[in-house]
Amino acid sequence: MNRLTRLAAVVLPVIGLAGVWGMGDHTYRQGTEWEVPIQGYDPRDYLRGHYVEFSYDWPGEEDLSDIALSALCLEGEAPNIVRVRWLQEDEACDHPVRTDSTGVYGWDGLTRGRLYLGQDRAMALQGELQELGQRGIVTIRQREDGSFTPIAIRFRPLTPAEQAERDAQDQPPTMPPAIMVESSGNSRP
Amino acid sequence: MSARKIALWHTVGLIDAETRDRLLAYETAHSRPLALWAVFGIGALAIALGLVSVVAANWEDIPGQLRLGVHLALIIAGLAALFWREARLAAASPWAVEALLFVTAALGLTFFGHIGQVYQTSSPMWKPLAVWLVLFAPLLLMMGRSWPAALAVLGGSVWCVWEYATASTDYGAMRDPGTGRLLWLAFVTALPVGFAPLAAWLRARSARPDFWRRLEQLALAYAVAGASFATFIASIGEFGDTRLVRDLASMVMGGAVAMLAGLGVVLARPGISGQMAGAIIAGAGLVLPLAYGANDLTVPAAALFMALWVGIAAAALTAHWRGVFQLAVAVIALRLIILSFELASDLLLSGAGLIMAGLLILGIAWAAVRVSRNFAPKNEGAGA
Repeated sequence: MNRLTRLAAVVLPVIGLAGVWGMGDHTYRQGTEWEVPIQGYDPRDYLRGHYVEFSYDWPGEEDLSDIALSALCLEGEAPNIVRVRWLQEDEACDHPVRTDSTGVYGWDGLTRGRLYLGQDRAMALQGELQELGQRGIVTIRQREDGSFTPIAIRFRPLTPAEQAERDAQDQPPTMPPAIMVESSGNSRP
Repeated sequence: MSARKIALWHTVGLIDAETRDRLLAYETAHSRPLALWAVFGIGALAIALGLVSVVAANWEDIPGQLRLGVHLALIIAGLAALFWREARLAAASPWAVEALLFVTAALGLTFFGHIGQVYQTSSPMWKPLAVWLVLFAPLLLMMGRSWPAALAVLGGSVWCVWEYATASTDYGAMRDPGTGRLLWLAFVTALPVGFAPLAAWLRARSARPDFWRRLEQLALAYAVAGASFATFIASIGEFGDTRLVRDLASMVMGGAVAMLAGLGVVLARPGISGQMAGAIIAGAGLVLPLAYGANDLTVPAAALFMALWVGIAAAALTAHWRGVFQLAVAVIALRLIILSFELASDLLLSGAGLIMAGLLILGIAWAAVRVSRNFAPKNEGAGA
């Protein structure tokens, strides 16, 4: 076997792996950091190990939960997002974030995300994410082209306003909704 | 044959001292230390799995750069040892080279996971697998000596193409993929069979025929497993619904790739063995579109499966592959038993039904053992 071919076969993996590393490192260091509130959890990937999976809870008045988002515009002073708005195709925006259709979440990339962690910490965080009195915050690094990478996760206690809002949602309705009272009235002869 | 047995034959007077020595010399020269091979292979596999889980544990206390640096240094050390010491190591033990090669390739694959972990990239699995194949397949193909390296190449390819196919249909990127897209995916998922003609061609032209034989066998096994699985999909009536098996065209595409690969094997490796291996791969290709036609039809789907395996048994008879023949008989017997339950699903619900089922299973097993014993060809060693 040709010695040169053999040399190429052992050098190729080294160059390739070093290149992948370099690109990963370069991309990771780019961008502005923003803090995004989150909900949710999850474990493990075969090759990369443990991660927590979460849903982004983008701040703002718009209810974005039912829209298939492809791009958002972050407004505020980094790292604090005041509000986000749904970004149309050709709209101008200083701090866009976009889905990566080739990523693991496809078009869901603005709804869900994951963060790789050590297995002990992943286990502990899974518990914290399910705990009610806390708010999870993920720091993302957002780049000019709209790509972004989650880089850290932390928790803070709910503010009194958030606490009140949550309690209001959890409160079971004491009266049946009006529509039900009417319909039961109508059905009687 | 153990030396102890031969010595015993001499002691009891069955053979004279000269015959004993000649037998011992022959056995030593032709010994195939199967247990040792298996141990090396399993050891290498265990190390590879261990590496995956060491990386997966994600040691956050050690800085990412340092961890990646150590990881890459290990890979470089493995590659350097392979480059400078391959011949010397192989002279001492070919299996040491094989194990080193396999472990180095496994370290390379886990490196992608490690980078993903440190830099929080979450690309779909097929991307790191595809890059890994591009970087490491040349090395594995150039230095592989037996099944671990062959398994790494073929297993890696099969894993990669199926990850790609599922990512392209299920991750939501394609809500309702068009026929063109599905045809492309059918083509890609059939591609690993293409290793069969390549390996068949290189088998006679390489100093490592055992590696190419294993690679060809694995590609053939992939084709047969795919065709068998297609008849299973027909049995449960899933054709036409689920995305990857929605269109007949996809099955025709997959079948065409396999038939071309089969033809390639026949051309690349003249002789009975090559012809039969090619025929099996081409036959597996033919089964794919036929399975689509047998969708949701219990008996035709089972008949198609058995026809495939009868074909394999016939090929094994012609080419004198004893093990393959016996496997085919066992598979057909098992499918007959399953078919009997498909046709009469209430067989297990009554006492008489249970007795019937028991008798049927015993009968089929008895017939299968008889066929296997009486008709199995004498082994000619080489196999597919």
